[in-house]
Amino acid sequence: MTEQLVLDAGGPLGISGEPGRRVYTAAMPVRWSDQDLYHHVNHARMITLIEEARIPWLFEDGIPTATLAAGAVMTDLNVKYRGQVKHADGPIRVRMWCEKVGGALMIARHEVRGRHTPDSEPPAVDCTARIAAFDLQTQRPRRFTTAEREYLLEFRHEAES
Amino acid sequence: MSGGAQDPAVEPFRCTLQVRWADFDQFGHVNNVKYIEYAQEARILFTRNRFSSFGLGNLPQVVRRTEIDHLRPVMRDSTTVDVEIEVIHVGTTSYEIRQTIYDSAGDVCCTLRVVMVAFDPSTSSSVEIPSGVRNVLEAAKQHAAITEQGSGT
Repeated sequence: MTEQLVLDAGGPLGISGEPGRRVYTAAMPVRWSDQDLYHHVNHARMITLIEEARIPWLFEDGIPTATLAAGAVMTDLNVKYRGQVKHADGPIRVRMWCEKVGGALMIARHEVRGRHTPDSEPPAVDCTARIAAFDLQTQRPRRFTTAEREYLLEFRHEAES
Repeated sequence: MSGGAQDPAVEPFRCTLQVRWADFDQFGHVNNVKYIEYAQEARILFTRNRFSSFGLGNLPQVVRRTEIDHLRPVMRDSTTVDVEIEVIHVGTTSYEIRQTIYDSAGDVCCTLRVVMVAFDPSTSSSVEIPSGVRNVLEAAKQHAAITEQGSGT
């Protein structure tokens, strides 16, 4: 009898939407230790959850941008905490897309909602991250490859919902 | 497992947990500190799963002692770990469990012995284990002892 990892995040997961409105949705289990004294997910832990959510979207084997796992750095991170996320709201749902795809830099957008919050309602957390492709050998930024760029462009759109 | 009727309430508790990218350190394996986090997460699920029927799914309890053996690393190919919990001793205010952490391949990576103490947050002191919870723990302990005896012969 094994208590399985529950990934029911209250909505569809993976890639959804037409090209031009495409988003990737990931479910992230919330750990007890993600909570702080206020019985909600700590703000710093939320960033870890968002980081984790990007992995199935961008870095897993077989994905055109998996090559970025060998080197990608955060150059700017903006997190708006609009509401609380409790342990019981997990697994949380993280919707992600690209606001911009440049030569070596992308702007990723993330919306975090609890399992019981529909996509039609505002997210608890709204996060914008600038991520640059980075060559660990030379310790310098590098350009996206064509395959990386094409995949990222499928998710590019400006405003959402 | 042997045949016959099995009571899931006394079987070792087992759960699957997500391994996060942030759990890995510079050696490309799960950092030792994270095993304590996995063990805690499993205990939360164990408590909820086994004590909820007495309205004690959030039983206040604290860790008195943790003893860890790291046997092999959890590497990047494990996106989940399984944690098993067996009850090995039940006292008046405390109980002792053995936790085993397995990687995705099913290999034992870490074992822990943990002493938990029932606790009254209003006084910050230990209290007797509530009787319903005690019965569950005792039955699980006996089951674990019989299983061990059986496998030893």
